[in-house]
Amino acid sequence: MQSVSRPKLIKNIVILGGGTAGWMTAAALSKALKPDNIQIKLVESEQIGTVGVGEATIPHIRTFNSLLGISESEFMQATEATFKLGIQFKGWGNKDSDYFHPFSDFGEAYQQINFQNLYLKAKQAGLKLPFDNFSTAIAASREKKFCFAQNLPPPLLNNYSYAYHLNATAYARFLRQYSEQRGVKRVEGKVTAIKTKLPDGDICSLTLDNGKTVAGELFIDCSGFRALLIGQLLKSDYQDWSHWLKCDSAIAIQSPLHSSPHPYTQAIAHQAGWYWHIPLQTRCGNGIVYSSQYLSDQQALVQLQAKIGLSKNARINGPIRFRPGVRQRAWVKNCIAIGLSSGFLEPLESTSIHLIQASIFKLIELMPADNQFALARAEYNRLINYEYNTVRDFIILHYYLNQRKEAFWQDCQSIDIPDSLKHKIETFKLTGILTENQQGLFFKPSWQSVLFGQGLTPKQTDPRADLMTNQQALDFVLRYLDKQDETVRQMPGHDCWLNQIGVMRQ
Amino acid sequence: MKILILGNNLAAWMTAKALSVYSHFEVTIAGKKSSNNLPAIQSALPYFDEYLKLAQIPKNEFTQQVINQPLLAHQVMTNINNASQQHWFAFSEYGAPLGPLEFHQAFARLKHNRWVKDDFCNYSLAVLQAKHGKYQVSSKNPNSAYSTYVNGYIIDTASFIHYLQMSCPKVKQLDAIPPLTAAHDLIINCSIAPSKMPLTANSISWLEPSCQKFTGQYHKTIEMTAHGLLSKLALPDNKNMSQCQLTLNHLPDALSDDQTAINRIVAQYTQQASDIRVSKQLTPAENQAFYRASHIAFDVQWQQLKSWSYSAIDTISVFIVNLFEHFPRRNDNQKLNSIFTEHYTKQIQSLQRYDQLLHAIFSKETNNNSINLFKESGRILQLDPDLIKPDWIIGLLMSFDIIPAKCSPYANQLTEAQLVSHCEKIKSVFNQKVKNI
Amino acid sequence: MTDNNITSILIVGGGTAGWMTAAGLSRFIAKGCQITLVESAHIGSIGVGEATIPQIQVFNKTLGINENDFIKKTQGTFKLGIEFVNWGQLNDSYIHGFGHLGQDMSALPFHHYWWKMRKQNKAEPLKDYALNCCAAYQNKFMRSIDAGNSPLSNIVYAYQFDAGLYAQYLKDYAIGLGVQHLIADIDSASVNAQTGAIESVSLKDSTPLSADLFIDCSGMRALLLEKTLNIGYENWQHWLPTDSAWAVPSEKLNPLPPYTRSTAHSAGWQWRIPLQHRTGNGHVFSSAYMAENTARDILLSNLDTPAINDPKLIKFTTGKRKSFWHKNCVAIGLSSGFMEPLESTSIHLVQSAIARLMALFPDKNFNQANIDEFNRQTHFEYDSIRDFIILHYKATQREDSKFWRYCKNMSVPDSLAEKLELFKASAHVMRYNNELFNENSWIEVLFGQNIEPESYHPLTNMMSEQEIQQNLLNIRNVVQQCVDYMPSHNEFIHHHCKA
Repeated sequence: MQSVSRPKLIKNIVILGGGTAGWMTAAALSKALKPDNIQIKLVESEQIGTVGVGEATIPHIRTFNSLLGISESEFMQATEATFKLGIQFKGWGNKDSDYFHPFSDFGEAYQQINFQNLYLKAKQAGLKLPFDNFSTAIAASREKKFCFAQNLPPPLLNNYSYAYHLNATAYARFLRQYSEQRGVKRVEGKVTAIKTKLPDGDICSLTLDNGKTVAGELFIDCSGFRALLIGQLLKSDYQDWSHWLKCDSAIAIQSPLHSSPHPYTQAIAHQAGWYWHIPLQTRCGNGIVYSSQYLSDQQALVQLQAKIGLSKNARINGPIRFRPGVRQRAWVKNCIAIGLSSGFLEPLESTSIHLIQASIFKLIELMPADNQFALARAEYNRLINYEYNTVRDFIILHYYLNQRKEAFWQDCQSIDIPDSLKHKIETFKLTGILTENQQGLFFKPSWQSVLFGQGLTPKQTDPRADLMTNQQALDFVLRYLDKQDETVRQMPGHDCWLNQIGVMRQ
Repeated sequence: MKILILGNNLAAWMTAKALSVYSHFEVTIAGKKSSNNLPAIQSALPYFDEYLKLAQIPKNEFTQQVINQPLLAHQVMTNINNASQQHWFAFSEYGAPLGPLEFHQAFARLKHNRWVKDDFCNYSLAVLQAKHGKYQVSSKNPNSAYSTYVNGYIIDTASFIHYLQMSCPKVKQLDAIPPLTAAHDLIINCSIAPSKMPLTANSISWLEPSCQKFTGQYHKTIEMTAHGLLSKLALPDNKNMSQCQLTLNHLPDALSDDQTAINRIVAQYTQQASDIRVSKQLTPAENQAFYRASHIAFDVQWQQLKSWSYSAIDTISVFIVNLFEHFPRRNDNQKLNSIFTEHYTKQIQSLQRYDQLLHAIFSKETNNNSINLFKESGRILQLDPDLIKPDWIIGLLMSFDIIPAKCSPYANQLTEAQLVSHCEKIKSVFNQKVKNI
Repeated sequence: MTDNNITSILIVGGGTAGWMTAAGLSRFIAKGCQITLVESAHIGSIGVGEATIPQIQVFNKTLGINENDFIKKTQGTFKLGIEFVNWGQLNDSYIHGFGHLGQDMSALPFHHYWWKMRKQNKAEPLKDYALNCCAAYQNKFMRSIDAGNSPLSNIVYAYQFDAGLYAQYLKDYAIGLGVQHLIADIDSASVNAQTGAIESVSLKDSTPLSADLFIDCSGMRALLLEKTLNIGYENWQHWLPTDSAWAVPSEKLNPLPPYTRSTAHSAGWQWRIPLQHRTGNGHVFSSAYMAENTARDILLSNLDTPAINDPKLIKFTTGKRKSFWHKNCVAIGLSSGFMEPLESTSIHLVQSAIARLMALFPDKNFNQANIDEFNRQTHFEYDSIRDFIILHYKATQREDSKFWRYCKNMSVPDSLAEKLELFKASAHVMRYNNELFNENSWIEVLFGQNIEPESYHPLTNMMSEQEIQQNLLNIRNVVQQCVDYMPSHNEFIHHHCKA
């Protein structure tokens, strides 16, 4: 027998946890909502640390920042940010491979024949260059160059885009200031008890160790892996993906920057996982992601230290343990999980901040006025699941598609991957066609870069491409390459830009 | 590459035209030309632009050589005879957002508290134009008010077919379907029921989507007004009417006086002759002005018309765009074929969802997911793929007085006066714009 | 007594489950532990006429309740079994009687001999060999007497009574033993952020009530275990598709049948529970297969006596909680799960949960091993009762409605599928780990719903057919003589425990 509760207006939104997720949520909500109408409170404790260190992003973060009306240079100064044109993958696929996943398309189409087909035909005419040579963003990355899209000539535009490397803790601090200026109340304290309203069981207040009570009608759980509300209290099922993604541990270390920062993230595979390398303005975020089944914590640390040539004195963060997966429902009752409390995927494709941001945008769209929101909640959960699933498949691809010989990688080759991914890979292999969705992350060029980069070349080309001979195609792609080289040659260096924007510290 | 298209109809010619971009293709259309000529006026969703792009048909060429008119909105009526009703399905956004506050949420708040008496449709630049018989090409500049809408088309299919035929002279035609052998690299079936089609490895079927068919009754009328053509969707005024009724207001001279000839033609396209009534309302002179082209066989499956929202041209466009997205390879097409079918079906379903929505609005159904979510949160279900834009649906729902049950939190933080002034501003800008067109 | 003992218990909810728990605990928990029961003034308990199974005698006995006194005060009657009408096929009827079925012959279960002969048309229907079944059909009842070998020495029975009155009876009992009774609405609950245990429960406009142990007897809403601790629910509707019931009391029956009756309709079934002062009736149905109004009409047109009130609609979801005891909160009663009352198990589930809680009673450390064992046993009990109830739906030959066609063809839990297969092949019934319903119950329902095993125990061949036939005849005669000896149910009640 269902009890029907009367509508109750949402007047107070309580955010639990003040990491990147918490302050991003607070900032966005404080921009959308006026404090005299809906009061936003954020509960955090100085005692609880945050996970984020050096963080790589994808271009969507710019939408987020512009929604908040943040100036780019101010943001970059505050967060030690550098520009990012893509990710370099070394050792993925096989030990010697080295490819880029850029924030851009590839090459140039001819008569609606996409570049991939022209490239494959050119290869038959003797072209030896790898696929990822045909991207302005990649070419610029390799030369540590950068420029804004509006300065590129149209054929080279390639939907060229960029993101940032940033210090996530500084970003949170920056957004905290932003939020507090807009009326967000920060409440210091650790939660000791949670009060639920009966008979519906909605959360109605948090009791803190200092005796304070923080009440609200809507709660946002940004408590990270602890998932105090969504997990511990509300017991929303966690869909475990560790059978697809074997890495479960990470260690992070910072290092000084030895040369000027390159405008891309590095993901370098090792025998049982990968290292990240994220250049900020004056230092570098480094880390190792690994499977503890195949590599001991001790060994991982030694390897990471050797890799970045650091003394043993550097501050070590970790090992952090994680379990890849997603909450089946990120929104339960009157509580919405955002950030690590809602799910976790390793940062191989720099998606952590994006997943936070996607949750925030969906929440802003579906923000309820009162406690009658069952349908909006169902819609929210459906959309967030969709978002996680598309990212998941793309990350699994990196592991699955490899020819390496180590035990870890051999085991990755025999993963029983999700059907959605299986279809995608098989179709690409046979026909070169990539099936696409309209929504979600990672479109054709992203898939192309990994598939080609990790050694999968389609067996066939589009018959429409036979409009050209192989030789004509070769000429065409080489002409494109000339234009690209010339453009990149004229681009200023990445550090020039940083200087110009005034974010480089001497 | 040798391509054989089965069927000598609109679908076949639209496909042939798109393929003719690739000069190395040898395209043959096989099928009997129908001896009878029946022109038809069809509406097309803005999605049709995708087809124009693929077929590399320049817009100005299309405008000049095909009898067509831009379509900004359908007028939707619960009674065909009551023209005062103002329900619109416009390819348009409404008003302008205020930060996170979407315009319809602002409007809903005012409506709840009776601060506005206005119709929501007056905040669509597209509807305003349609009402006044004006038209301005939409703009690509996101800062322009003219970027708030796109246009569909009202197309005279006969003249469209004629254009297609004239513009791809290299396409060969066969009167009869030849034996289906390996002589063709690709066979595209635009006419034979898939079940009867001897499937070969490299054939693509023009599949009727296997989803539920729309069974409601309705009028779909495209009517000449003083301002031009107006597309109307409406409930039937006659309860005894079976299935659907299509009123064609425009008939060529040759047929206009010969009712028996008309009936004969109509009977040819439908199992139940009573389904379709063809009526003539224009004077021969008006017809003359409207029709320049000769009339060529038109053979699109009439079932497609059993839809409120989309026409055969739309499903054909979806078909071709998907075909090109998943263009058959020389070998190993089985998987591709199933992916093609899956995508195609999903997109057609997205159109059908809209049909169901309209049906739910008319029949005041209470268990329609989209309507309930909209009432609760003011949001539209986001399904992938969706060829109908959320804004268009919002406009439709709002114009039927289906409005969010409560104010959005963003609307609550502004005063009514602020919201009213926002509305007034938009209205005056829009009215001025329309006046200037 | 150490510091670690539980010193306060809060029972939330005061229906049958709440007061049974209060009575049970107050009888056995030593002084020094304050038991409080809080119930809302607004929320009525669901119980209408309640039928039970024989195990209730154990509960009443442990509380030291006098049977006659209890029957009088609850308008009770005696119950020898349940009659099932229209279940296997339309117009079929059989009784699931408590107690013995025939008599074992040379160590083999009786039904193997019976089935061997029945197959050859050389035996009467199974019920003729069971005292409870024969007595029930003739409206006879008595308690066991000391009669040596005779079945009269061992008459197994349960009760039918007014659950509201029973709760009242136990309430007086519990309050007499010091249980504190509060009438108030519960407003909120507070959960410890570190341990995840319930800290306190707040009443409207009052200070929070804290306790060491919380018992959730709040019914299907499960205020503590579900609404506060979000334990989750396992839905069994795909196996047991009924989700609604209309309940209505009608005038009393005369003579009083000493059994409950369950009559299958086209999308569910109707109960009839005879009490001394009136009759409890209800129609359990699946709203997916039958409209509410139709179900109501069917109920009203199938009453044996005129209705006293307007029917009340009850909605439910068949299933169980994913755990029954979490941290410091135990669910007892409908808060732990719901199964339709087809086999009169709801009071039994309350009682066995109480017994289990006593056996595994925690201290303030709430040892997880205790909790796990409690949950394991409760899951087992739920699952085995579930299987037995599903059996009634699955073992049908009816195809006259969509509902029955669904039931006939649905897939069932593996545990049940295996049982069915074994029986069909060889007439064996295996009872695992103290399952609630014993072999006889299964045999009566299986044969009652026309499931015909292909064979029987081969060792029956050790006895000549003539010998078996003679034994069967003897048993039948003994049963009939016993029934003849028994007084009528009406007489018995009149003599011993008339309300």
